[in-house]
Amino acid sequence: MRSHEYTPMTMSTTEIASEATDAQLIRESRTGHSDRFEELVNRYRRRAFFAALSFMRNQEDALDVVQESFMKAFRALGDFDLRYPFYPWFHKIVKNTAFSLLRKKKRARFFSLHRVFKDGDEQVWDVPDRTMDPALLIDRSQKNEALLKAMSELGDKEREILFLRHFQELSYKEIAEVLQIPIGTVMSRLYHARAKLKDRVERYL
Amino acid sequence: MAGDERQQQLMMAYVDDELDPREREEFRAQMAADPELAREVTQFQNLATMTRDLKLKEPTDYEWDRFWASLFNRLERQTGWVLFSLGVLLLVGYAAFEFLSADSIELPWKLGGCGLFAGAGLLFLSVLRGRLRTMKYDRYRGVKR
Repeated sequence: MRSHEYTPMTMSTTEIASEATDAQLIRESRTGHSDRFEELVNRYRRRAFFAALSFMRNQEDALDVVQESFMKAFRALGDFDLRYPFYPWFHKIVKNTAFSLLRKKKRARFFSLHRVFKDGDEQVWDVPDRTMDPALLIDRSQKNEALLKAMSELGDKEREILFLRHFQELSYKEIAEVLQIPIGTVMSRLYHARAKLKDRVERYL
Repeated sequence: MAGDERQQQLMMAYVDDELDPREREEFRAQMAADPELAREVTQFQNLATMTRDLKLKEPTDYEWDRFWASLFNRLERQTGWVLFSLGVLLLVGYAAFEFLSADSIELPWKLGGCGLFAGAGLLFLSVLRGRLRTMKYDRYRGVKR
């Protein structure tokens, strides 16, 4: 495989670039500089948004997860080991927060499966659709809708790795670092995720 | 099977341009000798392009501004509550110590004071416990105005 020298993870143009390293920003955030924490938030909010979206499947919930994750990260900054990169640690927080919110939603759904009245008819609340919100698509062509739907049907781990590769544009080394798995596992997981997608959208390929 | 897995890994690395030049050449030679492999790789390449072209809506600048304002507000309030609670605990603790150790205050006053605070504390804990117990089943907790 191609060898990678360690460089900070690639940043999208919409993320705000700064000269300061993550460690500097964290050190200064710990001493109460909220502007430095804001810089850290701006640096990683987009990536965190896509990570959250891969689990939550709609924009509103993804934003809630990102906000809650930054709150948790802020509280835990004192415990963060500055020798390690920030994003893998933060990604884990985003993932745990997303799963925790999903669990809460599931529990709330369980307790709200009661009959409601609408136009005089008795109805039972439907279990919400777990497919990704098609309104997320900028170009809602049939092909794109089919691909998004196919992505919704993947397992969490498979969708997560596809989001890391395609929407967060991370290299294999970076994905391995974020998920704390060997590069070989990154490639195998990508293969299985893509093979399932390929079967579902074969007619568009 | 191990050979298959290695092949799958190389296929992904080729599609994502993660192979070094020597490995890329070797893999191209394999594809030239195996049309079925070449066909599969082409499908994966098309799929990767299709996924890359899938543009998802992101929050607008306005939404991100509101996001930061709300986050900052929550952080500020959280810090405020922590400081406030610490201050209250310190003051109440110190006041209780002074009250109980003061020789000028007679025993009935001290007993009355202890009962008052113990009762208030117990009521507070009881209400708090009740709220915490029902909170996780509250269907309207996540409802935003």
